[in-house]
Amino acid sequence: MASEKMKLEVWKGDWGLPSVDPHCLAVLAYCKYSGVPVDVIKTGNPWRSPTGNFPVLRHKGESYCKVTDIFSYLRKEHWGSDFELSTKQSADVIAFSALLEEKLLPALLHLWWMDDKTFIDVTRPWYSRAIPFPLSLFLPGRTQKKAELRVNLTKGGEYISEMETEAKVYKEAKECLNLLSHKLGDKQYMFGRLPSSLDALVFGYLAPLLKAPLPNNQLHNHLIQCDNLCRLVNDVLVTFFPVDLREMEEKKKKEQQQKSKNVTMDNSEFPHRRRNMFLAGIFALTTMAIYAWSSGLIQIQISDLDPAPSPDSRTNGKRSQVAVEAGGAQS
Amino acid sequence: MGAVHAKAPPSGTLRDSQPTGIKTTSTFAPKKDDNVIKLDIDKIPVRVQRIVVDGLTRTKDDIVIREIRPLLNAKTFDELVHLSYNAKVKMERLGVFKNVVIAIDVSKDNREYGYEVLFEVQEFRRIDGGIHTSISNNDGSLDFQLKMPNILGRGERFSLDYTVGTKRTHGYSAYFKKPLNNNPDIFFGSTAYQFHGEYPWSGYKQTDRGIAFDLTFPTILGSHNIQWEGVWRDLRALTRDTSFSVREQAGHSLKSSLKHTFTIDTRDDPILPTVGMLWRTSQVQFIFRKHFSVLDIETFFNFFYYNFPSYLGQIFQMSLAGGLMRTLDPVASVSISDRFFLGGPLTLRGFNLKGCGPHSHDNALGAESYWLAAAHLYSPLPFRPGKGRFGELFKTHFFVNAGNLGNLDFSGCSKSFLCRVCVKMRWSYGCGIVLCMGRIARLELNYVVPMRVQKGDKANPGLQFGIGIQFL
Amino acid sequence: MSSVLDQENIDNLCVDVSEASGTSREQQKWSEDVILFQPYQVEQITLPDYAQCLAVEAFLRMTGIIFRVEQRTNAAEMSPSGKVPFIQVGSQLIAEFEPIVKFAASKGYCLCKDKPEQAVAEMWAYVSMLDNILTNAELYVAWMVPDVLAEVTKPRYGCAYPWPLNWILPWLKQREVQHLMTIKDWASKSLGEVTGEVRVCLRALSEKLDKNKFFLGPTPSELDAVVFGHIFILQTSKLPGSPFNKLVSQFDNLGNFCKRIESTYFF
Repeated sequence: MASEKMKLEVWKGDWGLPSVDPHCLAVLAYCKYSGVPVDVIKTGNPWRSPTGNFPVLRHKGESYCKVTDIFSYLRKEHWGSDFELSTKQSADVIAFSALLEEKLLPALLHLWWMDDKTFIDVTRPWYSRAIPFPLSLFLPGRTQKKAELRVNLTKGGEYISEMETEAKVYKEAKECLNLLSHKLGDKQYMFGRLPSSLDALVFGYLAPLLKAPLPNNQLHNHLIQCDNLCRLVNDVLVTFFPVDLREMEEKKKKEQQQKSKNVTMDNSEFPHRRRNMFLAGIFALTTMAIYAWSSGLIQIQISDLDPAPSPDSRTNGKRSQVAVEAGGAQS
Repeated sequence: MGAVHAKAPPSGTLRDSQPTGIKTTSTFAPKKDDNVIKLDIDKIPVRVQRIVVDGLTRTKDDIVIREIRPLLNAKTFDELVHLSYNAKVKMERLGVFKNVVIAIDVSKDNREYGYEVLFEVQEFRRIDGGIHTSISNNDGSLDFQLKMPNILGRGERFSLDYTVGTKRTHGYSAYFKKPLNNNPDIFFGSTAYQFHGEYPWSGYKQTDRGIAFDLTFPTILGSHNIQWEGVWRDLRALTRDTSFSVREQAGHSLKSSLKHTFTIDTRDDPILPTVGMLWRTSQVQFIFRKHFSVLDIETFFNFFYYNFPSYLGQIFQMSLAGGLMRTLDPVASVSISDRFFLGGPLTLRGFNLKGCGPHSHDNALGAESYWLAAAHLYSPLPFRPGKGRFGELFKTHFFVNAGNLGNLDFSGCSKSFLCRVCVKMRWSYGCGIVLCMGRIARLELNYVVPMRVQKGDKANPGLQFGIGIQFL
Repeated sequence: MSSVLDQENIDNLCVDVSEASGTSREQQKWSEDVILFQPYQVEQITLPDYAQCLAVEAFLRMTGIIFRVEQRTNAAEMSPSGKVPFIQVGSQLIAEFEPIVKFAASKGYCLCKDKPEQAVAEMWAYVSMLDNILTNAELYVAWMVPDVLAEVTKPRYGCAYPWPLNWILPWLKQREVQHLMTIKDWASKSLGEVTGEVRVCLRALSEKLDKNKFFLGPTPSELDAVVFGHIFILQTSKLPGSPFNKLVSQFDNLGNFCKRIESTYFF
């Protein structure tokens, strides 16, 4: 109903998803369900975002950053199917959204930002590639610290060890998944045939869990067992984000082709590597020798050697030779 | 008169206090006997014309003048030498100078019996520091220190320390000391500190933040120290298994105490004395505000050692310690961090560290009174290896320890009181090797046989190793 | 439908399994004393802690467990998790609402034994909502609204300690709470926004309760205990500015619910 189009900035997507961030996915899904005319800008540069993070919805000069704020604004502008829910169902929406934030979000933060293997293998490389230099130097680290604080302050503490915090966080996440699965049951969406903001949130949190190639993913294994939740996520993807799925399929095909090429390339890389190592070693040795000579650790003496006896040199008996002796550290 | 060639007389006293740092110039080298002049220096009259102190930067003049003024009244040469030496020692002990070199010369205007004294002093650097290790009972620590000696010019000293210990203890402190009345034995000190320590034998950890002011002064008999201390203590349970009796005492409390300590120390060595005695007694009055109640507690404890050598080179040592704590408010109870504990490789040998007395689920609770007695017989190592040097640091010893720890009930009659104190005691005996480390700490490796153990104690028969500075 | 709600997972929510013997679900006799530790109610306890303590107390009364209350100034420091309330059963200490509920269930005292699984799942969602919204709102009002902080919270928190601890300790706690609120993104909210969120939460509760006696049917459940704890303090706390008293009065069924629980279980 607004004449000016809304702009939504989100993180870029990967692995068949329109975005990698749970909150961005939730907002995107809600916008798709409700048919909101919005300009989606996929970017990796949070410089202009008021909080330094996405999603950001800009309309009529105002910007909204939190998911709840965005949902309330869209509801106010009469977008979305939430007003078709009964009062009790609306109450359930609030309750379950709080449940997700309380029980599932810490586990996701832990998985993406605090689990060492995942952070080094997946999260940091992805964000370093997506965020332009020089922000990519410190932003992932800063986000990691924030995630750690969030998890440790709410779930951890002085009285509990890190291992126990981790166990507690994942256990609560699994219980939350069970609760969601139970709530969903056999229905198409949480409250029947029409998707609501709760479905958007659920999709946002669960889609990266399902689709991203995260190592160590115990939650993933648990989620796969909740058939109905997987079905919901896949349905939403297929129905509302087919473009991204197609892109992913093509990307996969390309990767397969490249892999077969890479096998031969790998072999030819080996001698390159060897040569580089060899050159690096020579360079290091040369620099060390030059340093040692210049600082006096190694002294090179060249004295004259005169093989034929001559009147001058007889008394001295010098010999010309190059003597290298190691002197001690000279202060 | 020309240069004087001073030669020490053959009798004892002057040689014993042979001053160092006194420069005597001699241009006259006697070659023949008849040119040697024998002088009795305590008959040589002197009149001190000038005293010059060279090398002062930040030290204030008044303390230096006070120390060297007596020299002007010297009547004989001997007296002059002694007085200048005493002045040097006192100024060094005050912490004003690092080094003092004295030069006595005839006065330049050649007056009769006129002398000049020159003090060449070297002051401390403004800021000094160091890293050293220190040892406390069964615990070692690394100490980073930054100090500013003679900071205001009158021997004041300010130092900042950061300590890290082996048992996860760490702390900071700032200390300021000022000698009073130009007397290095009378001084005023103040400290501000934060210290975190863990006490696994009782299952708690505690952070102390406090300030303290103290005054030390000597009297004829011994040295007194009066201290006021205010501490904010934060006690928490160390692990989940800490017993409830200790956990109940967790929380914040504020303690203010006034302590008086009296010490007489005539030992010749603080770690392995051969002769002498130490008596230290202290009385502490706590004014305690913990939560809603106000407590007044008095404590009294006493260490007493007496050593005397025997003609075979053995040393016999007898020691006694005791303490008593009383609350003036019958309802309130004493915090676990103030109570007495007993047991350990240097006190009541044969028991675990703090292993005697009431326990709750493996946590030592301590008690409000104790006594401890020990008798040792030290002897040099058999066959005396490394005699004169390294071997002198080791000694073997035989010992008997006895002690008791408990809460006394003052309402009963004195006979039952004595019975309780003596009948339920613990004692042990054994032998071992003692190593004295640099006059600072003592290492012991003993084989102990605990002879009587009370219910709830944790005995540790057999080999026991201990290291520390406070021992009995 | 295949879901992961197999037997083990239901039991995690409401464990009704006897511990060692492996025999089926028999209620075990609770032979040891149960003692509930909390700070002094009249002088010392602060708003968020009071809600938690009341919730646990209501739960214990609803299950019929016999217990006694011990008030200690250092209850928070004694607690194994640093938070109040905590209960002592024999040699075990359990702190905070959810662990206490699970412990009670493991001994056979469970309020939602006979209720349908769907309802139980929803109930825990609502408990999370209360934790998320109402607890944070209480912390906000107690520690981040200047009037309330200066007149009510700080004097109460520091009353048990002598000078200067009675201003150092509340100041340290205030910094800790502010840090927590910043992490949870609540520090940037204004009092109006917080009141708005509380209103939304209360409306959701009011709609869920509707005209029933309890939230989950004719018998009380854990949700009733938690709701009682929070609503009671929102209704009765006398804070400068009275931000919450008016809110509760907008929802009649919640006010009546509170009175009913109080008269049934607390007198």
